Amino acid sequence: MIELTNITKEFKKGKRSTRALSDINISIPYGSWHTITGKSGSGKSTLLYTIAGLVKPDTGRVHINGNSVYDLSPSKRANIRGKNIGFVFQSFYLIPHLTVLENLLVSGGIFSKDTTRASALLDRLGLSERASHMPSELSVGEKQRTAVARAVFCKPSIILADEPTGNLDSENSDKVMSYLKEFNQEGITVVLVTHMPKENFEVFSNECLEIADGRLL
Amino acid sequence: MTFRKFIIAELFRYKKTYLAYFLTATIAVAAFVFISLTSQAAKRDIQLITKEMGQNVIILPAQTELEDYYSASGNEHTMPEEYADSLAAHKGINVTYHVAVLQKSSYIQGSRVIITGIKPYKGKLESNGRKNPYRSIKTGEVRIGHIISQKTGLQKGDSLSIMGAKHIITKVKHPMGTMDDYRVFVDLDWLQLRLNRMGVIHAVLSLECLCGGVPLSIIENNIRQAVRKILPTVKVVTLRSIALGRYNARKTTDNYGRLVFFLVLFSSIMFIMLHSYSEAASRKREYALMSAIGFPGLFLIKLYLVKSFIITMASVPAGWIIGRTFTSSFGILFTKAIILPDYSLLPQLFIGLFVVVATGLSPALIHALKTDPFEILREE
Repeated sequence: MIELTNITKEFKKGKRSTRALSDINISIPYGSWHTITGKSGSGKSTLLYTIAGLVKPDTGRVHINGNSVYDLSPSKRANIRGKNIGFVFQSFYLIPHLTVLENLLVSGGIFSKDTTRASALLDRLGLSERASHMPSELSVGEKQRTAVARAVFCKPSIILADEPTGNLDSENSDKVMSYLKEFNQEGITVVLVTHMPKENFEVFSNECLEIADGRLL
Repeated sequence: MTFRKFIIAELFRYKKTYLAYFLTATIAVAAFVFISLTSQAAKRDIQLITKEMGQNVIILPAQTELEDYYSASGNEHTMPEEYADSLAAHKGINVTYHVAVLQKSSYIQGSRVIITGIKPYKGKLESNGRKNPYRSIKTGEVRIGHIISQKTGLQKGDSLSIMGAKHIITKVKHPMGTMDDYRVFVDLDWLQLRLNRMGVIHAVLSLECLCGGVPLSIIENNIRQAVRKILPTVKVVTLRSIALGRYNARKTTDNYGRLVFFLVLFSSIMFIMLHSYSEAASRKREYALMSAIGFPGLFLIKLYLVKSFIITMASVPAGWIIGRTFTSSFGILFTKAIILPDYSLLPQLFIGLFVVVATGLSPALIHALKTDPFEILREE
């Protein structure tokens, strides 16, 4: 269970301050798929990174696996992130000097030697022939599938996806979404944020939430 | 995947950047090796030159007037020869190369000369086998001052009668511009026997160690106090021109080397700092990603230390070889002394360069540690 209680977050820049999150309360059961939609600047990414332990809220608490995330030290938070959370970004963010296979092996904050699992995952996502390629040699669809494989390599309980199909054509978007759904059906919780209409995601989601001006509608 | 493979992959991917760090660090090491070895040799050069100028401290019985000593008037007081032993044996005085002196005014072929019996002593602090500027003289041999040779026409190999005893001239000394040009140097024991003044001397000449960095007046004062502690009945006269010459020559060599090295060091650190900062700025997404996928700040610190270590390990041997080669080829332009390889510099180099490289890379580390994954990775 991921629980967010009374979360507020305000960003200050000079004398100006912007309220990004306002009194957010969400409970996300394990194995569910939650989609959070909202316009640019609505606070959806802030919410996602708050769940990940990367944006400390001004008030409220985030619990993952019963741990109050922001009561932990930064290194323990990184440890929890590595073990429990897989990230999928719109811009893929693969490590450029590592091969596709190696990108999987350094996920989760550790250096893994489990090439069998990494190869099996790549095979499952149709990337087995790309295992020894560098990210710069991949198509955008392949890059995002690699990112999905990296996100699930360390057997996380949660995938946080930030606009995962934003840079993809419809064919590759469908592929990525279907892989995410497969992993969700295997028990991984998915929290996906997007600026696209929630109707596009209702078929995948247990719950679709809409956020505007930092508030859940 | 291992940490080692990760580092190798990173070094390979950013090979131009790391090559620039390696070259900068190598140049810094080569400059350090060149400056250190050349200035060590230049110092030896200066030491040899200033040693030729003679001792810079005269220790006389308290009642002796300096004028009497210089002119060998016969009014000089004596002191026990053991004083020279005491000075040489004392470890608390930074004075080396003592010479016990007994002198008597005399005439050779109508020219007034000062017959000077000498016996060199080596101080306890001098352990590296350098030779006393005053060498011991065998009985039956003499060294004569330049003016005596000019006036009498005596040359090396000629024989000479002193106090009725025949002596062979083994050396005509270079012009010194001092009373040494009028001296005939003989064996001290022989002169003491001839003058029936066994076990006594008129003066002890010493070579004071003038280390650059400590003001000359302080060194002088320390030596005076230390000598008076063990020999309360003597006075200490410093030949300031010689002392200052030695002192300033050493200080200048040291300061010059330090200044050049500081400039090399400063520019190396600045280059690595600026380069590493711009590298970190261009790789902020990588650092943000590493943080997002669970690598703690400690991992980045470890990565930074290992990279500093690798650059150091590669640059020190390369810089040493280049520095040595450069020293062998161009050191002759700065000093005539033989430039010796000083391997004791290597441990200092490894530690020093690691600190330099780590300092140079620190802005990159700080930048990486301060990277906010939310700021960098969130999608607009």
